[in-house]
Amino acid sequence: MSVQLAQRERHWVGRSAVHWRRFRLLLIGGCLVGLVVLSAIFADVISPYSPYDIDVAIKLQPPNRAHWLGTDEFGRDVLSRVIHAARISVKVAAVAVSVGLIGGGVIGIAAGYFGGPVDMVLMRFMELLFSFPAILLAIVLMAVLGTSILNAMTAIGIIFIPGFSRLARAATQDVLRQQYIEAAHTIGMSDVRILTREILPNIITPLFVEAMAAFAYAVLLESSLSFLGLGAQPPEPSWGNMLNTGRGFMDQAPWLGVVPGMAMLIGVLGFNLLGDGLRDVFDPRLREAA
Amino acid sequence: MTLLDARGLVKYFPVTAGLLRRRVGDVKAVDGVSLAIEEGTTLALVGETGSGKTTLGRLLTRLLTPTNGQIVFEGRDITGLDEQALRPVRRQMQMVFQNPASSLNPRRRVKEIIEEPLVVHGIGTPVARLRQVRELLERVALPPRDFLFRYPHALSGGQRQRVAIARALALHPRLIVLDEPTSALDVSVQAKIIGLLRRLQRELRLTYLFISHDLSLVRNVAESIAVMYLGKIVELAAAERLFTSPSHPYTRALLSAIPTVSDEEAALIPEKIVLRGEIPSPSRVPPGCAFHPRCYARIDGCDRVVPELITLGDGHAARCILYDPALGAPGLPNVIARRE
Repeated sequence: MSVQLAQRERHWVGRSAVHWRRFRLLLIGGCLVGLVVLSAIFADVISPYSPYDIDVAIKLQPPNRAHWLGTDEFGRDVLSRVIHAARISVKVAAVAVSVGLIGGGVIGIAAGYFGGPVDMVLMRFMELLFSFPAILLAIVLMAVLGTSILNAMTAIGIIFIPGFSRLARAATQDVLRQQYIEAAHTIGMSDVRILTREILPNIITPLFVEAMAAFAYAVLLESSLSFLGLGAQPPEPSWGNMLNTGRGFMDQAPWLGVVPGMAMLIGVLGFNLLGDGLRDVFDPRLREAA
Repeated sequence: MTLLDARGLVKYFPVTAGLLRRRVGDVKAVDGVSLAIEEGTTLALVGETGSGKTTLGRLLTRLLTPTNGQIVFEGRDITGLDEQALRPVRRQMQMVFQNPASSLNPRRRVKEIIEEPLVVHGIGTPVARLRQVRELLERVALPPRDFLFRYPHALSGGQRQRVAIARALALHPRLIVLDEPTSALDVSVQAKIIGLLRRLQRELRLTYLFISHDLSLVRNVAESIAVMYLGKIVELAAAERLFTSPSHPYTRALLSAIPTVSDEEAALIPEKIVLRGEIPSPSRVPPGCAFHPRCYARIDGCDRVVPELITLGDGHAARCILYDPALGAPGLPNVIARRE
């Protein structure tokens, strides 16, 4: 009896420790993401100055009491610009991930469910997209589509489609092996109803977790495109184009490069930790192993 | 009246190889099966894993399309019907699956699961459907108040199987295919589910096709039994007759393998027969009689002649050359035990 009790207790302690470790990841990730998302939403309220106000008299000032993170080469407040840049990053990432999630989800579910030649054609096309390095593909797409924020969203979204489609296809095939799909056929459910009622609810969790991880990557890709001058166009602030400008002033005004770099670090790290934390919480296989 | 009549059913699954998916062979899952089920009775389909019994069940409910043969249900040929034309037929034939853990969608509540067939077939208003779901739950002895809004993971194995049975009953089918409905359950729960199925059969005049690998279980539920081996029916008889005078060497071996707990029981079954080896793969069926490599009563010719199903009278038939009148129908030798 006492042995049993002790075992149970140890079991409980072990569990809660694992839970805490996971929860901590989720918590840190959530805080960082919250910081970025809130800055994006309330940028106009919290930023001390307008991100566009030029005052050459105070250009390239190091961080001081009036401008906490200094000013750039046109005397614009860096803090205000970095806050407004969060807005671009979050907006681009949200739209791009949605494009990837919906596009990849539809393609993957169709390939997994219908199989055969449909699967063959769709997945070979996905592999074709997958075989290009992401940033190269983005540059090509931007070159074709033209330079704008909207096109950056589309290009990044297209890059995400193959990954989501593979995940959705694998998850769909997994669900198809379950007997409730056969049961659905015996009661006469249509393909559309089986897809929406039986399959979709059972594959949505891994897709959402993947979406969180993709968010981090989208932030990075958007910054890369902007850094190369293909994303947000000056004077609109973006972490990428701020970093690009800062590069030229690295020895005179290092804060111009360091600040947007740190912002990217916070954003990417936050979305990654949140994604990992969510995966741990939702993945039943990991849950059982604990 | 014959409710379901299958004639010469064949299902081959192609085996492909290489980049071009060249067809290199077939898995002969079901190879020429004919059987009939009388309304209100239970036909048991017994066989080892890989004997094709599950595939046969899927063919009869048209979850799979046969490679050859004919299925007549309620006097109507349903072999070539497409999914659209099958919908009204599906109302009449339902299925209960082996593993209740995977036959219920984990994301839907009990109410939705049982209601789904009614929704799909556009039966009733939401209020009327809820009443029906409650009645169905009561029929399978689950108090609606406690179970309506639960998820499958909050149910025990037996409770899940009851929900699966309620779902199968929702459309008032005439035929229910039970694919090893109790093999995933504890023995004590098995007995309760069998009891429930028999009660439902009496009350609703249901016809069952009961698929199982357990002969002793089937004895209590079925009027007639078909024994399958490598895609073919090797023996077909009324349940009692199969147990008192098993005629195919394979049936006799199966019967001898039933565990017994008393001397009286042991006296009922023939000598212990231990078969050599395992059931071969249906992709490489032995020539002649498919059973001959494992058969203890094998005679000359078993490896060449494909035996027909030979009628022994009273609806009893066995697929064995030993009953061939042309050979004088020597029958199975009485002492066949070969303890190895």
